[in-house]
Amino acid sequence: MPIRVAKMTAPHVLWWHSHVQPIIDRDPSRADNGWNWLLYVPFAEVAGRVLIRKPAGYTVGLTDPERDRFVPCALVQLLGRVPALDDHHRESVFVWFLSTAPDEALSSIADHPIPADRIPRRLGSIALDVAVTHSLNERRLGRTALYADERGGDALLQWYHRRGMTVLPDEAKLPPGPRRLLKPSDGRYCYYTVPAAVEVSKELDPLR
Amino acid sequence: MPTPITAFADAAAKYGDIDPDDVEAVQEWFAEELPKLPVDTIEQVLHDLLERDGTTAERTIIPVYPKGVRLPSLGSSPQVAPPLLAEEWKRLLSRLLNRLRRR
Repeated sequence: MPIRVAKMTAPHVLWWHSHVQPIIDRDPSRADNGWNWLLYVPFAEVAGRVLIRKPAGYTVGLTDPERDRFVPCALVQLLGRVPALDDHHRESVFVWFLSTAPDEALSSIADHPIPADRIPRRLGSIALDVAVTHSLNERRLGRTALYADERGGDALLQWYHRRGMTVLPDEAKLPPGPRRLLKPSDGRYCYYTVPAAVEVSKELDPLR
Repeated sequence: MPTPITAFADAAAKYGDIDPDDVEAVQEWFAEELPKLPVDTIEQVLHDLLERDGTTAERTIIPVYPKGVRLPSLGSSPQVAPPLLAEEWKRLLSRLLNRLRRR
């Protein structure tokens, strides 16, 4: 089953909250445990528009043309226009929410179970690549930033680092905006420089 | 953003007079009512949520998972345009970066 990147729509989010989120919520070690995309998506869309941050949502999913089905495997909610963490005069994409489906969620779909050997691998990398591609398409030159949820601990921070992201030092000042005051740098903001974004994007070129 | 769901529920209660323990009403308020509010109020909601970002929920809200939701159709999930522009940018940036490295 080929992978497709689609604009995130309400049916994707509703299905996710009905089928994938309950399985995520059984695993307290996950950073996205307890998330509610039915709240995040409308909020991110409204707040992003009000602040002129160009919000965008994408769903990575498997396609089944024979049965006309699309199986969401990862959700990514972005802000398309925020000041870059490493150069406040440049613009960047910010990954606000990113979640990938656990294997169990895909293999246990009642009328459409995905066989173990068809479950896509590297979903986290693919979802992050969607953000970088959005940044390239929006002329942000690949600049992409995010905040590594505290609940993901050092392991999550290290994962983003291994994906080529730079960790913003905890003493660094954030660009002007509400986050500078309310959620200052604490060593968990990560970002792609332009060269790092180009390199990481090339890695998945064989899959495109 | 690790903002507890209780922060969203409290914002819906504060700005929309919604029962904060009724998670479906909270979801509906964010989807239907929040977009109709003045910009200043929306900014205040964002402020309230960011203020509680990273804090621990002080109470539990039991999630409600919808039942019987079918998989989305392909028609409701159109492929985004192939990243032609991204490819062009990547090629251009690679050439520029290589040139800079050689200097």
